[in-house]
Amino acid sequence: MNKTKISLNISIGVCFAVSAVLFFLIFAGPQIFNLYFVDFRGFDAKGEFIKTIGKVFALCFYPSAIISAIILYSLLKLLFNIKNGKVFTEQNVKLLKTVSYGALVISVITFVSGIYFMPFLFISAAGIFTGILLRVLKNVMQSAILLKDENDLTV
Amino acid sequence: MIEVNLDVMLAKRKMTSLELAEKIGITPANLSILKTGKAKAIRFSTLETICKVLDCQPADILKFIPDKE
Repeated sequence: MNKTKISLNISIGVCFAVSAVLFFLIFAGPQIFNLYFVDFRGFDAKGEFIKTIGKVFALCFYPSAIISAIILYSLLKLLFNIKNGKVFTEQNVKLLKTVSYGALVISVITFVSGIYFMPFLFISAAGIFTGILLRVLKNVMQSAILLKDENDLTV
Repeated sequence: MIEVNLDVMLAKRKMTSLELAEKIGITPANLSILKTGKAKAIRFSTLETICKVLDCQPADILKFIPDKE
């Protein structure tokens, strides 16, 4: 029981840490982009390549950041629900559904960006797998709710 | 459907539902689920203890009512 609690708190901590990283990336994104492509890879800062790739990055990154924020909010809500003992509820199924669709939408966005910048395709593949995984988890949760209802109403 | 008719037997034995819940070792909330017909299933062990405590047969508290269609 105690181990479950510790594990739950670790999950909540990780979620908050990832939120902090996301917040940092939203503001530091352009600087990191310049640091890598201009200073490290040595592309011309005013060249055609940087202009195009910069647009692709911005168009891919900022919508994804919004969706990531929604995903993190859902995950935190889910974790606090579990902490309060409400594990197998319809609300949690909805939250998992949101997260799974979020992952799939991000994978679509990165797939389109992948046409212009190939490495994005790897993120897209990871997103598809995350989305499918969470969908299966959602189905498991739905079946668990049925079992719990049955169990609760058995005297 | 199956109707649970605990009230009659409780009245015969002059027992309150709270007492019964205590004697068969289930919470009053669960007994209320049973009495209001919300229960989906009843464990044999629960039925056994109820029969033992109320000194009756299952037929005295359970009744089958055919569905009206």
